[in-house]
Amino acid sequence: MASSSSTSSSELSRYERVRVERTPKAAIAFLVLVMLVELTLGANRQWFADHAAWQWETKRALLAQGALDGDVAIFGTSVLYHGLDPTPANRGFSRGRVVNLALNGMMLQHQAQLLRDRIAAGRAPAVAVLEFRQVLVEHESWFRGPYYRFWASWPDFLESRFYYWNLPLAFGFAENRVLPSFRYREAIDNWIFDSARTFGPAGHTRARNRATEVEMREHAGMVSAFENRSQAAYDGPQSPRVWAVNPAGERWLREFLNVAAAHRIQIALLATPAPPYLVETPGPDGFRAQLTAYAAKIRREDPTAAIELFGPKGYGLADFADDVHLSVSGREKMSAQFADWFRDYSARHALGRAIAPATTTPMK
Amino acid sequence: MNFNSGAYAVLLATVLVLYYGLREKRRQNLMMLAAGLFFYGSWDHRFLFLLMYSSSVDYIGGLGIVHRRPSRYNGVIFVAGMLAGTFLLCAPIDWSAAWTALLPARAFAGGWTEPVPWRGFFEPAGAWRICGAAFAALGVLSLTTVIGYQLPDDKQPKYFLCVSMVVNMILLGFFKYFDFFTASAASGLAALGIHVQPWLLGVAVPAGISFYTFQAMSYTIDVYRGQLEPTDYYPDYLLFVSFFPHLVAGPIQQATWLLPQLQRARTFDWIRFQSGVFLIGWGLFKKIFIADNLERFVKTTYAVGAHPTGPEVLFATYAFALQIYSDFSAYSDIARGTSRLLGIEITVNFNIPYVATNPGEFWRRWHISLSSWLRDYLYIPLGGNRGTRGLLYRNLLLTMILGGMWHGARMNFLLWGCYQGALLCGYQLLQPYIDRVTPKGVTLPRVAHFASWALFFHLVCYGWLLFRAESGVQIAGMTAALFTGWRHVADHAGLLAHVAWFGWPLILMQYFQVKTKNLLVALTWSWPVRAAVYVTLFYLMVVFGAVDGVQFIYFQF
Repeated sequence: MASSSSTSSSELSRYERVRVERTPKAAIAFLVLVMLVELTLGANRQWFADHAAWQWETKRALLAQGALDGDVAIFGTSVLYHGLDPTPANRGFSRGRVVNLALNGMMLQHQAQLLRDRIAAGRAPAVAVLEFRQVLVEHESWFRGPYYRFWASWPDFLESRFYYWNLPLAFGFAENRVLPSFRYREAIDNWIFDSARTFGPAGHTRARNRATEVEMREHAGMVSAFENRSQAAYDGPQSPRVWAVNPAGERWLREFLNVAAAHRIQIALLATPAPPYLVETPGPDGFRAQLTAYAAKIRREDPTAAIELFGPKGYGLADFADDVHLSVSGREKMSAQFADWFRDYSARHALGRAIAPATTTPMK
Repeated sequence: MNFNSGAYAVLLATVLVLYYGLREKRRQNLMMLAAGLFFYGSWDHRFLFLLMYSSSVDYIGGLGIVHRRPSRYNGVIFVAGMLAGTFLLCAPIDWSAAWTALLPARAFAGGWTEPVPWRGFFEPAGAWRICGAAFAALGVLSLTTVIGYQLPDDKQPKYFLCVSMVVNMILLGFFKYFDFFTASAASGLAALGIHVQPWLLGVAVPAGISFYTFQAMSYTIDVYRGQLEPTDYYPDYLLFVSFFPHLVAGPIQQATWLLPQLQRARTFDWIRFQSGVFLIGWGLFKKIFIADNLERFVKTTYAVGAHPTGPEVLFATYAFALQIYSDFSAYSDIARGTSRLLGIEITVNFNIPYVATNPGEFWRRWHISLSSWLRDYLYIPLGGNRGTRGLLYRNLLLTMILGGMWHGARMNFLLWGCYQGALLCGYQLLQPYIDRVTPKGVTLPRVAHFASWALFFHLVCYGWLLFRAESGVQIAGMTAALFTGWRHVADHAGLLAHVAWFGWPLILMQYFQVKTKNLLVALTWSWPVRAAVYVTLFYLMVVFGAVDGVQFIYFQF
């Protein structure tokens, strides 16, 4: 027992005795050890980081390095992230570069914030290609996935105004930023048990994460994900394709368009295809009519912005991996169609020479 | 608001800052009272009225028992507080509209929520009946008080004690047991061929009602017995009932223990503070790493419609034994730790119960605050172990049945209480033979000690099966299943491995606690060992813990 210590039970119950120390050495050592562990984990997260998180991390790192600077930036969710390879478009666009900034689970508010970040960093694109499949922002999208775990800055996150309704969410937000072990807890859990099974540090996660980084770098931000679907005839249920809009989605789409307009960034809306079993109902209430009407509404609200709508067509069942995501063949098809459309678009808008569109005003 | 939630961390941090900033005892108490009411109101603010009403009855009762009335100042505070509280809590005020009306427009700028349109201060179709009933209940309280003070001096104490007991029992019975008894009566009549539709209230059981009702009753009983001077200042009494660390799931504090601590000035104590932080950390670990992880396995085996084999029932029951202990003792530890940070001592609720080798010892170690309450306010008044053996068995059975029913209005709690009573009676029955084999002062051989421990541990586990099961049919099915499927026991080794994986830190800690007879043994280790233990527990919790904020089991009681 250290000379500064004594045992006391005077203030405690009869079942309890403690060693009293003037300085809480164990607590200090605990904090130091935790800091060391966290630093080590943070520096070696490639070993265990889950794929969803690693893709966001890699995209951020490549953005910071300037490896994803481009004149044309694609914004969207996993549909475009995995489904649109900018490489074919870049082959025919020698005067600039198309980059894919989309990510899994990246909703409209995240996209708007990313666009603002690019502008603030002095790396604004001349054209923003925006996924146009629905206009939805779910409440939970503020509190889930890599966005909540590490992507959002405090000002980004405060834009959710969550603190008026659920202040303790700030705790989870802070914990994820302070402690890599907390941020990657499930991934570390998996890695530890994988390592125990293989009697050594499991390396397959690291190999996968490295491959992701290489692919993202080589394909200007795109990472492949899905295999080709079976060619067998689909015998599942047919269901209508639904056009969905909610107030939060509209609020953040407006934010995106306003930011783009304020910085003279041209907008192109990309209406992604759907598998044939999602049937588009004809008539004014059908998906296509509502999508077109919504695009027209956007144009009406800001008549000076030349907002184009691009809708790739001719996709079969084999081009889809599920209800929304494209398979390998679907990705190749859409990337080729996008390259063709973009060649025409860049010629019409003289991209690479005088990129800026006519003066625009922010939407109300 | 769970102890294992960010909201509680915010509340605790706020309370600590204010507490040590305020310094003066009365201000500290008012702040803690506000924190307690907020903490309780975070579940459902309407149930705060019950808490206030129950405590007002006991406050008046306490004074009435000793022929005193509140001073004019305290009386005004009491009456004004009750009237305002009743109106605010029971009137159909549209709080959500009021709240959103207070918020600035930017609160809605996230886009995911729309302001609730202002429809007036009161809900348009609000029910005023509840408010009327609440004020009527206040009227009844006033009337009974006036009647009590008109009685001759020698009759006043008993009258006020009875009023307090009756009101508390009515509240508890109405909210917790009404549906159970009406449904049971209906099924009893149905068995006799008389079919009646039971009249069920379908009211949610107010959180912690069993805890605070028992605690409130202890106050009037102690005052009646002359063991405690009643408090004249209502906020102090309300704080005693609503002291937030132990409000919802105990430990149940007897008034003679807690109230004097609340009424005197507290000073910062470094030993207490350190041990408080440790208790909170250890409690969180037990909850997040052990209890909530084991819950998954228990839930699967005890799911309605599941047909587990013997090994699955046994291993899942081991898991539940660890889960309920970790969960409940975690709550008690966090409550005690929080309380220590505020300079207030709450009694120990668990003292390594699974080392017990007989039922008497188990109940001296398990849920000590409830078993002490039952002993002091029920078992001993019933006659305790005085009188014939028949009376002793009756007292034991009655006490344990009430202890079982205290947990809730379900047949399996009743059965569990009977089972525990039967174990105690059985042990009393065997005691002379046991004493003959092992006279006092003779230590049992290790093998015999282990055998008696193992036997009793499995008896306790069977009790947990009764406690956890969803129905009598399931109890019968699982009991029968215990004797099946043992040929394929190896197939279920994974379940046992999971129980061992999540249980080992607890078992190891208890080993040292038993060895040293010190619940805070970890705080006697050298600092490098402690630091290593803290880091290990911290990372087990962070990486492997179930961080979904699962509610504590005893919240439902």
